[in-house]
Amino acid sequence: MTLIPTLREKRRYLLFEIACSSASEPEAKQALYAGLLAFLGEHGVALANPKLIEYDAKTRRGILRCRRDAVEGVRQAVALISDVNARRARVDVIKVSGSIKKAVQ
Amino acid sequence: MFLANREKPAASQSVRGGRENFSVRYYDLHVCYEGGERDAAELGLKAVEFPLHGTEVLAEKERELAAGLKHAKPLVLVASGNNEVLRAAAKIKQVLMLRSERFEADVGLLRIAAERNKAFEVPLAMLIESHGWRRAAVLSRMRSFLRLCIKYKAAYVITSGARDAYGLRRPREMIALGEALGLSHAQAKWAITEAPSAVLENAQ
Repeated sequence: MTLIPTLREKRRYLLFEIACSSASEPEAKQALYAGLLAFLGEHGVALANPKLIEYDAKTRRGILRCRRDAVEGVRQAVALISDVNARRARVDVIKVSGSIKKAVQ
Repeated sequence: MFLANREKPAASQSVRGGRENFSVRYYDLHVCYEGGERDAAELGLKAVEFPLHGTEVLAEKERELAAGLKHAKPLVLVASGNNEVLRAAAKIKQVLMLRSERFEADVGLLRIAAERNKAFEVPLAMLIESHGWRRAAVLSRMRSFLRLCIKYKAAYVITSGARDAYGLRRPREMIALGEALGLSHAQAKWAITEAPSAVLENAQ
């Protein structure tokens, strides 16, 4: 059964890029989720409802989904990530969009 | 007063709701590795590389201050965990930026800094490089310190304090971290645009 649009969770899609020598999908996922959990806490993560939608290890770009009202918190958490699998790294948010299609454009 | 013609944004003033204005120039006044200015430019920041274009004086005693200021570059930053040293540094015309290593609240220091047009550095590296309880403690101290800076009208500048390219952050991320430190969006933006611009003007 589908929800009417007004009741649906409003989401945002963050196009990000990991500046790092290399980062596979499991490594990127682990670093992102650990960073979010460390900064937002269990309660904050539950409210933000983040999910890694897509990740390309070749370009080190991916899309992270979260609730619309938690974008700033997610951006802060992601900005505080300093390593991926014990390698120095930086996560840049390139774009925030309301749809996956526009995020990847 | 600091930034005589530049109004500090009120906490309620909002510039949110659209893309960042790309005609605005963003600054990172403290990058401490070779090639930092080039890397920062790729992220849309005008950076100042230490020690190439600035001098950082680390002093725990007042007598160390004078020695550090000899042959200093135009942009002088004094960092200390001792507020007495910072008070003395704030009275020196040559010094433009101050960094309290422990971010201890000192109303006297904030008043002197506000009167003498000195800006406090808020290095994001301290947040980025720490984890767990330590990060929470740093965050808490920085928040209280910035709250007092706003109350006593002392200027503050958000910098990366990067030691390599991975320590740099894009302007939008710097603003987001400024918001995590209790600033409004407008105040955080001011701390990487107009405030550092005024410091550089003073340096020249």
